[in-house]
Amino acid sequence: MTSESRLPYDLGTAMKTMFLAALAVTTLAAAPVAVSPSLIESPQTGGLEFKTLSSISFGPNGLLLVAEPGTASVVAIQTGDVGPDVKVLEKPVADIGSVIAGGLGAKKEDITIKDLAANPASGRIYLAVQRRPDNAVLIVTVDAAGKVAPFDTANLPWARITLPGGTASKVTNITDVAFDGTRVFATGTCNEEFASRIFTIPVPIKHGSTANVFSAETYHVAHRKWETKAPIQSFIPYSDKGETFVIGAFACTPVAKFKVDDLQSGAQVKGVSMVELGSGNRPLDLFSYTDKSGKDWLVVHTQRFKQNAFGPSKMWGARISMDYLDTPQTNENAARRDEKQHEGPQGIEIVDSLFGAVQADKLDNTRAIILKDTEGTLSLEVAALP
Amino acid sequence: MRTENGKLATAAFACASRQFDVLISLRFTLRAAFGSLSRFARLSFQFSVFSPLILLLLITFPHLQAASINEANSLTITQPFSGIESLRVFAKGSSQPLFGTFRPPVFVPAIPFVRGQIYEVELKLANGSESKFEVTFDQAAHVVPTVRLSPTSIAIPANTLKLYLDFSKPMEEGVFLKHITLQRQNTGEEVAGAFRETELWSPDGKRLTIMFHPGRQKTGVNLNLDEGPVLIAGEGYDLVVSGQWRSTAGIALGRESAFHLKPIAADHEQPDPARWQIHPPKAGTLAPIVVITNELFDPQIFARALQVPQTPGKAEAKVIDLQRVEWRFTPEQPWKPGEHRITIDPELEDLAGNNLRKPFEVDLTVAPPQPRSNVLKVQIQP
Repeated sequence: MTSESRLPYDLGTAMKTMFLAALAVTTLAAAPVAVSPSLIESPQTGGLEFKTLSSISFGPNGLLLVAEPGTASVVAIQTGDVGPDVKVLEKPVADIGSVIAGGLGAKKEDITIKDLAANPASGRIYLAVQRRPDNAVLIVTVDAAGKVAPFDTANLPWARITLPGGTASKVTNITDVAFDGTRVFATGTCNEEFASRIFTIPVPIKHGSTANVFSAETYHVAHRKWETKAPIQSFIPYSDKGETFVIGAFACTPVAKFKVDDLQSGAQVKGVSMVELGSGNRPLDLFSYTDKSGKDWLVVHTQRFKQNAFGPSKMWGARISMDYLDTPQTNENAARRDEKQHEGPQGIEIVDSLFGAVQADKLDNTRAIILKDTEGTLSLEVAALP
Repeated sequence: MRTENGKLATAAFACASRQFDVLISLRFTLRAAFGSLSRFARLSFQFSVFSPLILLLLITFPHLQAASINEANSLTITQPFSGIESLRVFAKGSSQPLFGTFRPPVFVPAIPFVRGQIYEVELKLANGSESKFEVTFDQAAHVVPTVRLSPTSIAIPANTLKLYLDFSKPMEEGVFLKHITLQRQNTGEEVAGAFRETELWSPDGKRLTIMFHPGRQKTGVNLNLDEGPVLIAGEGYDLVVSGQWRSTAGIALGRESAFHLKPIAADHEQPDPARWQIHPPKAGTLAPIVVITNELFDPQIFARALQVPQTPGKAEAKVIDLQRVEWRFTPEQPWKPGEHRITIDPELEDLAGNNLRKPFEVDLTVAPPQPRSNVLKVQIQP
């Protein structure tokens, strides 16, 4: 597989929870849980240093969730970045890769943007960055004026929660982390094992605690016959008609769902494939939004690793109607996108504004923030959602 | 760390110091010898001797220890500039200053300085003047990393899910797909889309888990049907690792490595410890228990997966031929006669992802598979 960009980027883990604050109200049939302004219990202040980073995402009230695979932990930080106004990036930041590389004392080709998260409470953009060859990491922020600055955690309350491993192994990779309004979900793998573990962390998030293993294994079924373990690449929690789902991208099938409401801790989780985007595609990011007509969509930001791209870039995206959540056509009978058309079948459409995006996150129901790669030069932009 | 002229400055100081001692001694000697000289003559002599040394110091002093970078990742301004208004640090050649904080006289970057990197320091002083100089963070020792593939056998199952690259040093991350390719041996053609793109490193940064794309290796999954499996039994492949891959110290492997693979038939069976050979030691000795498998495992994982409970000792494992792994456990105390047990982690996976509890691909149309026993009993006799 080859990469079109001269600037390497992380291809595996970004997942966004911009929508989740609103979803929290409808998640459960019971009365919605009020989210306390302080989502962290026994917070620490100062002394927070990251040796590794994979995923970052936002919960409500400026709560930043950071996956730190090197310590097999998730760090929650109360950023205090809560507006009062939401200030959106005023214009694209051209060649942001050079700005960030210079700030880290590196060459542009020695920087990887591992993840991007837009804070819905303020509009500020957060980027998780890794430098080579020493693998040093840093979170930087970009304000509405396009100014890039290191994320200063010196005086911010934070908490670290560890993710438990197996009998003879420990979590070495955290593929995604997201907040669903009442708890934090995280997915991780131990290198020795093939499947993902799903973890949950209750709110308030208590420093020094250990996450619950929600499921030790995730599965996929092909042809109603072959059941195999399946690592989750990325996911979002989603609520529909009072039920809570996790919609995820598995390593071997792009868009699958599983219901979480009825699951008990330690149960098997079986993913059901809802839509096939076609072979040769690898989902990178997922987020959901509601368009102006009130229709719910799942946006899948994807990389194509086969040659026959159907647009200006191998980095592309599609939106899928959330009606597919209820489809009886699943797994080998799942709807397949018509690769020769911009749209088709009904409810599956290419999102043109995502071509070239190597990272993407939802900002609100009309816009996403993308990191766009144009012949090796990265620009940070606002992309319109259809 | 040292300034660009640090070595010269140090040498100059040492040289000047020795010369001072010599000259002081000489001065007393000369004083005795030339005590009768006029004051003017004596002053002229001293000036002519010492002025070159003074001039040397004046030339080098501005560059002597203007700043230093220490192991604690801070840059300290050591020269007594008066009234520093601001300081910026740049990686040489960059127009973007480093992220960091400056509390005179110390600058702390947001992430550590890079060894071997030259930094340019810009000072603005209260009197309106500027001072610029360079600082280098010394390069670490030049140790070339090496790499090997595990397990060290070419006869892997065609439905292998994972192999491992073991490096002698921690390696740079984020670029593994640029540095590994799978090529068909007969044509040299690259097998496109062979690997899962998720990067899986050990915590020490020395072991990379390479995962063949599971969507292609799994029976009946769309990618398997559309693209076919990654490996075909009986065909030859080379797993090629580029020599440009760098350690975290910035030192490249230097030469390309090609690891030959010749896959055999797919493995859909759970590991069966009942078919492993056990070679017990004699009681009263420190000889190891030896277990030899009938299929391949990664030795590092296998060594950890087998344990002798309540018996301190050391376990190790290695591939002994194309299809077998040998595990040895050496006790710290002599063996007592009687039955001993070896427990096996039920999650231990073979290269195709089958574990003791069930095969990787479970056929839901037939009776569920039976878990294999995860205990080996060993009789140790005198």
